[in-house]
Amino acid sequence: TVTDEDGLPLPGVNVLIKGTSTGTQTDFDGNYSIEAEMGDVIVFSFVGLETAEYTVGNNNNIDAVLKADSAQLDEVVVTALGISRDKKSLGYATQEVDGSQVNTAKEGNFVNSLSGKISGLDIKKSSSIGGSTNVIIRGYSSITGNNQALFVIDGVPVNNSTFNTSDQSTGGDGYDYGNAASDINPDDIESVNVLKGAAATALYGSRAANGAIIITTKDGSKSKGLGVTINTTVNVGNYDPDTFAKFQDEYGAGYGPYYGNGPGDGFLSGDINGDGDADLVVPTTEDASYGSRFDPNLLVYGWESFYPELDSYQQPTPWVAGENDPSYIFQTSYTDIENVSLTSGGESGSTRLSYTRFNQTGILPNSQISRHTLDFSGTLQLSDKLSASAKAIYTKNAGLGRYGTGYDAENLMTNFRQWWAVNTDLKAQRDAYFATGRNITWNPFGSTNTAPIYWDNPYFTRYENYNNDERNRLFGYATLSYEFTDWFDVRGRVSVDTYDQIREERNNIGSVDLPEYYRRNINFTEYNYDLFLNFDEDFGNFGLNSTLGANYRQTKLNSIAANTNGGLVFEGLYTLSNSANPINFPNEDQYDIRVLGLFGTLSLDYDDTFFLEGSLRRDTFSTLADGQNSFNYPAISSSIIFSNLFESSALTYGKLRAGYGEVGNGAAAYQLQNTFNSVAGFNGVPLYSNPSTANNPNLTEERTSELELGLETTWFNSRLGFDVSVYKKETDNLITPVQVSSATGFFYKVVNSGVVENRGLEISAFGSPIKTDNFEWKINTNFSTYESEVTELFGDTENLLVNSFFGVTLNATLGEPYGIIKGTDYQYVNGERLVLENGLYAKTASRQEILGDINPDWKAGVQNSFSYKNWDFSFLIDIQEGGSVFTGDLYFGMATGIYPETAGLNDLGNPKRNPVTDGPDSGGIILDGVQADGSVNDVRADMSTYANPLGRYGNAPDAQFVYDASYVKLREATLSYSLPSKTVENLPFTGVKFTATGRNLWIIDKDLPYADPEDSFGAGNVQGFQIGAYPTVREYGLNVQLQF
Amino acid sequence: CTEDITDYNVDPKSPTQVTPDVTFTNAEKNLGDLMTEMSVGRNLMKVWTQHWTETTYNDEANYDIIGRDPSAGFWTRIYNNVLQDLKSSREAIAKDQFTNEAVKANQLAIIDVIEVYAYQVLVDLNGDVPYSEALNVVDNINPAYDDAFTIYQDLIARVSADIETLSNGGASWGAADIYYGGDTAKWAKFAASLKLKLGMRLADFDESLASTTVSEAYEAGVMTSQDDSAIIQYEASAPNTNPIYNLFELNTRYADYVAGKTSVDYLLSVNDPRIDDFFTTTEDGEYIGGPIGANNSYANFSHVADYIGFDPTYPGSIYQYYEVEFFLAEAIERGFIAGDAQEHYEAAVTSNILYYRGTEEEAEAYLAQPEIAYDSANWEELIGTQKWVALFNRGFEGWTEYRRLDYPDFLVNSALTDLPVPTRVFYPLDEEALNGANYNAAVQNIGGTDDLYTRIFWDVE
Repeated sequence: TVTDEDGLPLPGVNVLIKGTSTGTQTDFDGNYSIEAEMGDVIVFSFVGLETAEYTVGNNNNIDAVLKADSAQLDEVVVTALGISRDKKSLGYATQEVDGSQVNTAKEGNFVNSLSGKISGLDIKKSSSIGGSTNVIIRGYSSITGNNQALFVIDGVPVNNSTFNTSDQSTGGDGYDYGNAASDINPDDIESVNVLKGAAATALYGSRAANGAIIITTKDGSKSKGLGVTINTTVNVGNYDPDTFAKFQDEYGAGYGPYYGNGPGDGFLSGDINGDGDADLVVPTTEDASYGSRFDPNLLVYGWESFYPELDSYQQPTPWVAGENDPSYIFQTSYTDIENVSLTSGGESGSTRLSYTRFNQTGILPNSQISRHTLDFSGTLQLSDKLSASAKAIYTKNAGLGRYGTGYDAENLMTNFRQWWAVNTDLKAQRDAYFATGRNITWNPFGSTNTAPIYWDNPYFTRYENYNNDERNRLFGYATLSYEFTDWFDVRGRVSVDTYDQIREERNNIGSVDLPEYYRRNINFTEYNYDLFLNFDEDFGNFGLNSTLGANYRQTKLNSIAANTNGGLVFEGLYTLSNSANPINFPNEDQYDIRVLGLFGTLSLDYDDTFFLEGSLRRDTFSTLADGQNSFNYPAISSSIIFSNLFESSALTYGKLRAGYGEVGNGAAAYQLQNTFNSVAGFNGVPLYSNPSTANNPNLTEERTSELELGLETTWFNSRLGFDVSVYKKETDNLITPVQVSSATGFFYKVVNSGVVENRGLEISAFGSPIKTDNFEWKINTNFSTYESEVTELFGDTENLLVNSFFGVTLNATLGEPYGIIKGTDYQYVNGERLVLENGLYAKTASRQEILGDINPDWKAGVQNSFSYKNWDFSFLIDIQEGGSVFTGDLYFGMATGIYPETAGLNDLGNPKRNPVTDGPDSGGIILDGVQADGSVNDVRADMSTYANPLGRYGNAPDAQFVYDASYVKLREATLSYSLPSKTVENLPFTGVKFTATGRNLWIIDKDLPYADPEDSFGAGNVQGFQIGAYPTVREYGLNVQLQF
Repeated sequence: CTEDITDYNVDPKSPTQVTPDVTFTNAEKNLGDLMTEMSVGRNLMKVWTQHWTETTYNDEANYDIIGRDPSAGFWTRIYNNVLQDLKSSREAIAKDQFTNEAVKANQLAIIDVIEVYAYQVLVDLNGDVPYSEALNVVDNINPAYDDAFTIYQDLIARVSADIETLSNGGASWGAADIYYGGDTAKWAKFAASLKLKLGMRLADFDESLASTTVSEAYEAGVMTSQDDSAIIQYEASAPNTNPIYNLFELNTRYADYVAGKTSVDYLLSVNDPRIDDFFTTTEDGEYIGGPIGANNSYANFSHVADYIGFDPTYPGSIYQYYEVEFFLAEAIERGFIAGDAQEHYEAAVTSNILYYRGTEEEAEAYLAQPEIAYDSANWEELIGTQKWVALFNRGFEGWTEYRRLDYPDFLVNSALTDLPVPTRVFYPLDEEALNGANYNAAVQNIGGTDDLYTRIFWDVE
């Protein structure tokens, strides 16, 4: 048995007979068996512990005790460019999580699993199936440019583009096709290390201004002989009702009492049943619920009676709320993931081959994401001095029926949350679609023209107006290393990341939107050529380590997009040649960006206690003007292991660190010179137009400089530990298309503009309050907070508009954090909201009032893990405090009278929607606030039409729709059980483990009603706006892992 | 590494230089679309003339335009899509070494005339606007606003010079000119008619300049028949279909609009033969207009006639012959030129009735009615009201001439807010943030308030 100093068994310890390739690993109980001869030396090794050697004597039973590595000195982490370093030597913050943190309770996009586990990392996921995730490290530093962290696999950058349309990412129509880093398969991840600051990423020069997420994949090197692992996961998910709309059930379709017929003036008149008499007709054109009060005794003619295909044709129905509200559409989502991996290791090399199949169906009908990943990695020791390694990952990622996002007819959430008639029974809509295959909508023009006016039948939307996409991707590299001497080696690496993607979107004939077929083909390739010369030598107590190298990067995009014009000829035929009119010119994009980087590092250490490191990188860009396109990126960092300087029984390990670095960003392709856009010809005459953005030949790079300080300590034999970082980073010369007066002939001009400053504090801590033979309780916590400030903008500009939704804007404002939400505010009298004489709130004339800030005050994660014998249980609480979110869903949805707040009784016990009178029968509501004279408001505001004070049409200030984005979530819980080794011995396995998992289980607390404050349009700089938000999916899973 | 890697930074898919014709045509197309369309974010004036009104989303009919900022739409279309493209054409002509100088002169004159037309729209919309410092993104992103009357004077001078050039005849743009096919004689008439319009706008503000300008324009030779009208002939297939068709059919927003009560009631009261050419009947066979600015149910009211709303090829108008005739009748009454006002008034009404699918007989019968028949003593009301009817589908010009002539006198206040028809549109909402100092100076110069009821300088009370 192998145990630690406390006598706890250690599973997974490598056991090797010295000088041979014979080896094994300990099982879950720390037991092992190996055939050895007397005199053999058995080596026991485990990451983070001191390696122990025992010589085989007469005793058949060798119990080894592995000591905690004196102060974890040998913890090795992978840093920029794939360089492995002792963690103790680093003068900057990195935070590592084990692969199990992302591949136990799995998400489709592994990045989502990092939420709450890394300090300083802000993750906002889209709740759309396969949607992209916004990954921000240490706050937003660019106003309109890229803020996403760099993803790196085994030292090689991975493309993480979304290529989502700008409409989609700003809340307009479109689909979120996900970010390309979601191709990374969690099952193949060994560990994830987050490099947060510029000192850490400076070796990436111009591409790691936003931090880097360094992924180390599994390989076969730990395997002795053949290893087989089979891993199966099944997740089921359902929507969280706390994150979806609730509906009033008292009033049906209409905008107010002005249709002229029936009770409440809420019906149109027409002869639907053909008896010659006028019937009460539901105003089906109205996508709101401000119509007549429901009355089961009243027979009316709604959409069901308009369509001859239906049995209910010309039949009246009782005027009641739909039996099934829109939540009827949500179904259980299923995810199944199967992974098989084969590993083989030995003296001359190791290999790993892994295949993963991921298949997920979403909570909306006709939605599916599937992914096949084949991952091969191998190392080969060709001679004493020459070694090679290679990796290839092939991924086929396919999506079907991704959810429409933003303000669009294809986004059912915009439909249900903003524009809905609650008399509609969604099941009846479903049955009508499946019975006929036609767009029988609840929202037709009327009984004679039954085409949709604003909204399709939701099931028609899902089954006829869907998209699909497929991405075939190859990521791989080959490395050759030659060790000239024990202090000098050379390593060369060639890597490629290439994919072809097709995206197809369609609207069938009969849709409210113009029937259309759209396709886009994207071909993306990035090549990196790297050469490293490594020097490593000790001189007595001095150690020296240096790397010199070069990197040549080529990034190429080739994309073509085309769509049909003016409609389709035949139903259901989705091809460009089925265009009603001749198609317009396809849109072609092509670029080829080159960057040449030269770099060098020099690290010195003294007595394993004092460390100093400097690095310099010089990048030359193809995208900036010749002669002013080379820039230097220096970094310097230092650390002191002060715990080596004195003896302390309490302090196990202590390190102080400081680092400074500069990183930057070149321009995008073609930002120096204007080009003309081709426009469809008119009457046979070709047309070209000026672009909307004026380019600028004088651009220079943008630059981030960052200073950080840190303190790492562990106490009481590493039972308790803290890692604290403070940083200040400043990004200036931001390459920004600034909005200019359109009288200049352009909307935007690309300039170097602005400075954004972020100052922050990050703390991660761990503790092990209870540790006995059989039981251990561990706590891991992360906390981070930062303040951002836009300290400079272009020229005299004081505000940059980042996004606008019906006049509510997201801004970069001088002297404020990036991401200020502006709009109209309440007017206040003595701190109380001012109410006008009509009972409505008084709002400011200006729409430039600051209503919120998208940046959270702080974020924290607390993970508790308990292990008892073969059982492990852990759960993660993820907290965000502060930050703001604007909800376009309530902005319109409260006006259209969908939500319960718009119906029911008022303070007098009368229906709110009754007319306001002077008497005790008055409807309306009293808004909190004061009248102009300072008296408490007692005037009732009219609630009888869509111009009610709760929504956008009733003089409500925009501030009414800006909510606190705080949340407390039970993000993740896992319970696992490993079969005891005695049981396993009788089975053909070496290990069997069962895990039950849950993700997004419970939103313990939030302020935003009816939605998850975390939901976003996906990756991008426009955050803090919700328009047609998707509910959160709670997922429950079961995982079985078999090892042979 | 000696290779210059910046060579890779040349876009292989988009040109950095183009010939003069391609941006010229684009400018004409954009200006034509702008003057033809109905758009809540831009040219919404068909609603303000009360020929149309809205159904549920009725902000514009109630003169609440803060949400959709129509000036921003106008500026974008005019500065970005018309004037900047014309500027590119000018630059390309300057580099063109092969075209004959006389042809180039004609091309430049036509560009200039369109620029004059476009700036007049901007001034008539807002008052002072960036002019002398506009369109210079490289050196000046904070262009000053020029005084509106100063701009008008310069526009008159420019168009006068253009008339001279174009009167020489000869070739110009050929097929790239989608208004007149490069016909310089027609352009000369257009330029003169534009000068007439500039002059007439000044009639109440600077009578002497108005008089000279108008008489010079008339002397130079204005449009004399429907054939001289500047129109844009749309195509059957998108994206070159009529903008109203795009709104109604392609974007299916037709149910957002119904016939305006003001218009329908007036047309009914004078037995106007155009009523069936302007509007449909309700299911009961009646013409009923929706109250202006009220919540109107689409099903209950008359709508814009199908051939205007649902025909992709229905032409758009930039400047119509009947407008010239109305101006001439008025110019005679004001003593700017000599002639028979009644003749021009009747020619104006008749040509408009014929334009809207009517007959000579209908026109005669209509003009014979006592309340329509010309009466010099009451020329302001007659010309104002009949011009308003005639400009039915010409929102911007209809609203602008209504502001200037103050007739008809029966346009009503909005139903929800009781506000009268605006006399101006405030500047794009972003201007204060983007070009603050110049914006503030302009607001002072136009009277201190950037709102809907400040008057354009020529709109003398």
